[in-house]
Amino acid sequence: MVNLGYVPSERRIPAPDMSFARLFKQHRSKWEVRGQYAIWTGSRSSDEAKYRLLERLDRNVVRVEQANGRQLMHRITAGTEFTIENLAGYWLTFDVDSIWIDVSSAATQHCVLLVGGSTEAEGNASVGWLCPKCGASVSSKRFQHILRDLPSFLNAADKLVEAFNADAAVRTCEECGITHPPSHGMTQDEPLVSTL
Amino acid sequence: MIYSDLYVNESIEKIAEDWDYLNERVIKRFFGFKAVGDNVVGIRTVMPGSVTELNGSAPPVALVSVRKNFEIGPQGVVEVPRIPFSLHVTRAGTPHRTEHVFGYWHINDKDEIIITLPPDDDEPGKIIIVMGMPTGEETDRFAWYCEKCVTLLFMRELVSGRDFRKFWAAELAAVREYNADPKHQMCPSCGHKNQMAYSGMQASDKSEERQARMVW
Repeated sequence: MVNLGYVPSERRIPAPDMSFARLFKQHRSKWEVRGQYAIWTGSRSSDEAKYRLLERLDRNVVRVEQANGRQLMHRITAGTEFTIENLAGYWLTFDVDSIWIDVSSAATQHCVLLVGGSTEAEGNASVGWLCPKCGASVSSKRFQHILRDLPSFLNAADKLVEAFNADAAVRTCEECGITHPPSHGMTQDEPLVSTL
Repeated sequence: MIYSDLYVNESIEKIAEDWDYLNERVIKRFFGFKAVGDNVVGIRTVMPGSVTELNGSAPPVALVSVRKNFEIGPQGVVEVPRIPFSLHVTRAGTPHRTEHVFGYWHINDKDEIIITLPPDDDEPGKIIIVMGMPTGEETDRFAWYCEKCVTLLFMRELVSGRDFRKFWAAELAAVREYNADPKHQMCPSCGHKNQMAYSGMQASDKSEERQARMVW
């Protein structure tokens, strides 16, 4: 191989990452950042509680689902707070758009979440909770550049869940006084390991 | 169901217009490519049959069920399967094409995510394409490689980051320029005479382009 200026010159030129595929049925819940997107796919059997996208609308919550159970594809606009029931107990906000796809066969629900597309956004995110009674924000924390190191972000979010669960005062709504029940972290087949 | 007290009473249709891109009324807007926020989305319904069955009622970008998809990588040209309930990511910079659908190699600066959905009851199968919205000096390229030895024959580039709406006009212009001179189709390395090009928009085919669509 001819090395045309790559430094260090004595090493092989690193091969670029190549195209790749993922079968939905391979994973019950798996995140991956590879290339320009963070990609999550999840599968649930018909006897399990489904993944369901919820979006915050002011102090209310919109269920993003087809009443007849048909396939759907939905854009989660950058800045919109959302959560996916049975995936994570917290609400997420990204500064880039996400795309949610929910398709099912007779026996299985398959879902996809694609986060990314913009090369101009910094890749920042927020993790938080809503008061289940009045819809006010109960607690939230901002994270920067999460697409550069998604595993560390997800681990930090899980630690935030632990802190949230450990202190009832943190979980108590300042507006109506209701205490949010304990939450849970990201459900994953296997924890991601940071490659940084 | 922890947030059930907060659920809005109205159906989502009354809150957000066009919230579901797979809705039969909305999906038609994605038959080409449509910019939506940070991404460009294309949705193709898969037509039963082969390219020989194309007729006037076919959608502008007609995805026949009998087709193959290819990419060029370090090992040369490879076939890329479209497996139901899967996603395939064509990484930025990878030449790729779909037999009978567009007669050139598309190379873009954005990752392309292709999701394959099988037929669902009375709904046809679908291919969903999501790619990042090009910005700045990012490009889309239309290229031709020798089908025998993979030598680059001809290429045109659109700086789509400046205005993605020019994609289809630039694509057709590149196709017509390639077809206009037989020398473009002649491989300078091995001498092989390659097929003519055709657009992703099948309705724009000239007769010789339609013939090429039937072949590759």
